Amino acid sequence: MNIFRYSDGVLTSDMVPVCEKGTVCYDLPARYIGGIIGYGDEVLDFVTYRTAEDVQRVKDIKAKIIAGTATQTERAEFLAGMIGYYGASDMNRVEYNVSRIVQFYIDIKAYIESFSALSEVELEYDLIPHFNSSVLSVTVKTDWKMADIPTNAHSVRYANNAKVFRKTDINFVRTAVPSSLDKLTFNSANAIEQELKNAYEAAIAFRNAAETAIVSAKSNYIFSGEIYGGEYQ
Amino acid sequence: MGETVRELCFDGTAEGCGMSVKLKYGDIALGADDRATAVSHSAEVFCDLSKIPYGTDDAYIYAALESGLWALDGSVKVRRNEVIPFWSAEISDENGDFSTVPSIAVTLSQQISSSGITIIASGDCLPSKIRLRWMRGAASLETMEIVPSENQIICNHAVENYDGLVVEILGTALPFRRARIDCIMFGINRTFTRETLSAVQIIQEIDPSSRMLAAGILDFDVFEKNVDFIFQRKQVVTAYDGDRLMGVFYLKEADRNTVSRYGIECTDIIGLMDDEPYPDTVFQGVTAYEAAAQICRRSTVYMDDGLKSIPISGILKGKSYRQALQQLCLSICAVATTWGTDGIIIRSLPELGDAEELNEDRIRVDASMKKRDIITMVRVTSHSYSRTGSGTPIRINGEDWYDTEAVVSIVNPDTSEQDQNNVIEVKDGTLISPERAGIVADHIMQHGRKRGSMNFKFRLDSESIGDAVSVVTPWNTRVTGHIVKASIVLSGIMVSDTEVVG
Repeated sequence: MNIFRYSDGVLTSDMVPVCEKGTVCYDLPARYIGGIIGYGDEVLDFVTYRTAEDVQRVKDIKAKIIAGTATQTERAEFLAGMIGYYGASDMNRVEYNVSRIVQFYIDIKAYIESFSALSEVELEYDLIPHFNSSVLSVTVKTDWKMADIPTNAHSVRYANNAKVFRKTDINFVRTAVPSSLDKLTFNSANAIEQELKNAYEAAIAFRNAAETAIVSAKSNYIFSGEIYGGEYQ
Repeated sequence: MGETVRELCFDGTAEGCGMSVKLKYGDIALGADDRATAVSHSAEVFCDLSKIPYGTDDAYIYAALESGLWALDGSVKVRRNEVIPFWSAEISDENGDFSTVPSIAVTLSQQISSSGITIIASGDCLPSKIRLRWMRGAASLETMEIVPSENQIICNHAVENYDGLVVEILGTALPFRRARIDCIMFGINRTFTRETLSAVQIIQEIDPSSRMLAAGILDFDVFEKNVDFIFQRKQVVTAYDGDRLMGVFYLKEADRNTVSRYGIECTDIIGLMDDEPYPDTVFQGVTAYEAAAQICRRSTVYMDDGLKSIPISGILKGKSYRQALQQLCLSICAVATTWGTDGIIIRSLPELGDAEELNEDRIRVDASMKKRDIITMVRVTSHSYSRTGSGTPIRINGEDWYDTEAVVSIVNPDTSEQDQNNVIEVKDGTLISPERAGIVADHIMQHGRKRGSMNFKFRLDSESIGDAVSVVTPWNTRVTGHIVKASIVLSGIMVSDTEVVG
């Protein structure tokens, strides 16, 4: 089976497409089969719905634990993790998602370019990502633990990472991502993940549009020997 | 003075009262912080244990990933280079227990006695239990366990003549938490309110001519049955009117009148500056602000911008810190006060044209007016110091300096031949340079010409000592002048027995 290795950045002979009438078929990595939506399953859920009540809920339960009046259920709720505070799981999720979406953007760009080239379909300008993949160079840390104490450098890097997709030409709705995690509010925490979600979904839409255009163009191809006399007018 | 008003508020309710007196008393073993050295083997590497005896002013919760700590309400800061006295490296478990109990051992370079211990636990990290062990050398004197209920953990337990304290944090109230201690104080900060106070009086005074520098005074009585105070000289007492800072004072004398009644006398930092000799100093090419910062070295100086850059030259020899400050004030025609501040305010008196009119409803009984003797002349001697000259040299730090004096005189234009000669003579203003002598003489004369002095009682609002006010007299005339003395009875309504000179 031919493996299309985008990350190598080199097209090799084993990537020659196998085309049949009316369809476009390539041997692609499994994650691309059926579109990149399959790949998107690797992105963790975005938490964009924290509220002031969630924040207050944490405070209330903490006060009860300190006072010794918390129920077993409340204590269990606290220990299980609550969305009203920021913790290691939040940071790991966001950092992981940043890394996955960065790779997703890089892959989409390579995928569309290669798909377009291999299928010999010249896509419209707006359907091709033109960003330089190097703009998406990020450092992530995905092993945050409860014992960790984020530094200011971590905090600024983390917030900047969430905004990295603004450097590409895939348009999406931007949110009020803070410049660091200093004095973070539930709204700001939501904004970070909403930005990532928007960037991710915009990339999917972009890919789908390009893919649809290619498939549509290829399905209209007229293959040699297909038209007989009198058939085509 | 003020008896009626004080009784009204002490016996009445707080409603309708303009203020509520509050005195914060640092019942702290003096000098213990400077003698203390804290050590811990259970701290995060970035902790600065040398700050443990002093604490930090920083009450923020810093971001960390412990369960439920990083509240998303905008209150949590990400740590930059802030000083953190003590965070344990270990996090407690699900039950708030540590596998190795974090501890801080404080040794004192000499024995102290204290009426208790105060431990400030940081932000969100209340310990579930703390064990204290007082040491004398290697011997354990006493041990006590406390279950804290708030971040300021007070151990009301007097121990005498100890030179070590071990604090062990046995657990945290919340699961998965570091132990965080911001400060260990060798004593207790107590807050006295109207329930335990009587006869609270603050006296502040200025000399508009800058020739004298008065110290602020705070006197009060405390009734407290349950605490054996160890009042010590120079302990800090901060006076508040509600949340408004009235001044910072230092304990001067304390008498125990009965089992439960203590009479306390305090002075402000200016009074305290009397106790220490100021090192003999030659001022050359320094500004007034730089000189003030040197002289008031333990206090923040709040100086009028217009005074800051006045050049100061001269010599201070054989003075106390307070005398040094007075000399500086005289040379720059300023007054110094500690009214309403945690430092020292050095200011020029405002022009009388900007005087605030005090409405009649704020003025109370007991107004009286007197006329001071007229001043006929002001004579100011300037001093210019150089390394060469004649006469007896002044030796400063091994160097001889020679003083060249000059006299500037100003005659009061208001005088007539009938007036008795009344000359103000300023000879020993050794920071008055020849360039400043005329200005100083004029300044003294300007204030000397204000002869009216009115004593009255009024309800103090935002006024401060030295402010220009205009007051209606009981006989329906008006006196405009500077508040030069305020004797304030802190009670339900803040009434100042005030002297205005105008």
